[in-house]
Amino acid sequence: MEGFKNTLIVAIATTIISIVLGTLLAIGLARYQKSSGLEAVALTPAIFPDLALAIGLLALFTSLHLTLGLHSVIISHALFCMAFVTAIVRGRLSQIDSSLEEAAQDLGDTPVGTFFRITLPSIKPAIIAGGLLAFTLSLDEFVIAFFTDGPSTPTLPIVIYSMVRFGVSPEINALATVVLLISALIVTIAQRNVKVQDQI
Amino acid sequence: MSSFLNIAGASKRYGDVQALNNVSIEIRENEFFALLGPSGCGKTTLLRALAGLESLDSGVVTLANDDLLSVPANKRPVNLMFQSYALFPHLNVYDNVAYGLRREKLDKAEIDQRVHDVLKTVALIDQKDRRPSQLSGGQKQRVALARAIVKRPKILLLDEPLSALDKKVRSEMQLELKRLQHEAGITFIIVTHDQEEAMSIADRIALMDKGEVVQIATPVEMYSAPKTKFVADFIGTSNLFAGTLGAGVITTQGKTLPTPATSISAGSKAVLVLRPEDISLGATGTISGKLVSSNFYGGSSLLFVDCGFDQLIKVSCALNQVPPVGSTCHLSWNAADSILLADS
Repeated sequence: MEGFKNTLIVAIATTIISIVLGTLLAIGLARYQKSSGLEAVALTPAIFPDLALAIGLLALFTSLHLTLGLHSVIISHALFCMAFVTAIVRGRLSQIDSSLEEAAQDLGDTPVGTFFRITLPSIKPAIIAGGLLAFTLSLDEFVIAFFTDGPSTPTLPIVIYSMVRFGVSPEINALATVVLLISALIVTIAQRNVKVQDQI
Repeated sequence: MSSFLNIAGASKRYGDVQALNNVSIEIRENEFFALLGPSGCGKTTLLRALAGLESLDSGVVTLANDDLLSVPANKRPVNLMFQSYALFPHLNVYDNVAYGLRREKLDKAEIDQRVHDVLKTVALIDQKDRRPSQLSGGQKQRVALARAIVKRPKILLLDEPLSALDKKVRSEMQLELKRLQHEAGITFIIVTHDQEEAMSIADRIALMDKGEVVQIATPVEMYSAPKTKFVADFIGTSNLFAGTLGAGVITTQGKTLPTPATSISAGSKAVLVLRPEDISLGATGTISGKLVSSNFYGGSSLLFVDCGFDQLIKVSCALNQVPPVGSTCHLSWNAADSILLADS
């Protein structure tokens, strides 16, 4: 139960951080970048091998003398989940007509007002889809959590792993089923949401 | 009438491309003004600069004697109707139209009144709860128009407003635009590459080419007295003969053609412009040739006659007088109807 709570804390915090940073990054990439090199770098964490990322992050945290715990897992998960959010939001941004924002300004809106009234609603489905993806990715992530977590705050996958070492008990099957169902449910919601929004 | 919007020496450069080169135009109040030109001539850049979405490298723009360029886009008394319409997809028709008024922080009753009035004017009151994706092209265009004029701008800018519509709807909308402009008493500046549209809709036209204004005139003036070969070629249909001027004749591609009275000195290069409707078919003619094809345009046909020039000669002809393809045509015209231009 403790593990499940830890996992939820990590997944929710990761989702929030990666939504905010990922969206900002996507807008920055869409609007202000001159070369596509930066975009490739921004999306690297998504395709980077988990193990390499995990070892690298652990090395970074130790060299910074950062104590390990849920916060370090959150930072690590946010890093690679952000890349997924960025990729999805970036795709949406390239589809929307850039003259929408110009039109809003032309009609007398401020740049900030334009962002909240026009840009954000246009990319909302992508942000939601990206956030749900980040949530499910973080929920059952093992490798990075295993490396960057502290011993007193295990996440659910780590708890399951340590239980499996003593043989597969019915509890593990039950836990695995719960995780699977949550993931499947969220992915379904994400898909439906994107489809409904696209019809508008 | 004094000028209302004054553009002086506007220049803009994108890398190697000179989008606007020292453009100066004076536009009068309540005028329907057209910026006409082939794509890439800088007309859209100029329009966007007036809207405040593009900056100029140099030049001065004043609106009723006040500097316009120092005012940010969202505070200019100028509204732009976008080529793509740029309707907000997540808002319905009513909210799209009300968007600009809400930003002015007007009270609710006034916003409601003005939005209803303008939606009635463009006959979209029944569609006010629909989303843009549920509207036809013509309806979207009218929403975009309503959204811009509801702000009661001093100038309404229209960027190729009719290019996405099919021909029938387009001519209806041209009438509609003219009516609205008359009723609203707003200065309209329309950008278009369609010379027929500009000719039929505008009070005056500025024809642009490669970032420069070539001629500013009323449609009739521009058609009957083009300043350069480019204007003659771009406006309407015409036959152009480039050659060397002699005494009352022009030598072109080894043939001589009569010219109208001119101040251009003999021996210099010149272009003879001959409009298809000034040419008549007869038993004898100045030039003769075989009819290659005839294109039917409603009330009249355009004939293409091979008279031994590099280009086919275009002749307009009443429907019941079209000779069979392949027959010999004798073409004649009154030399005074043709136009002679100096050629650089």
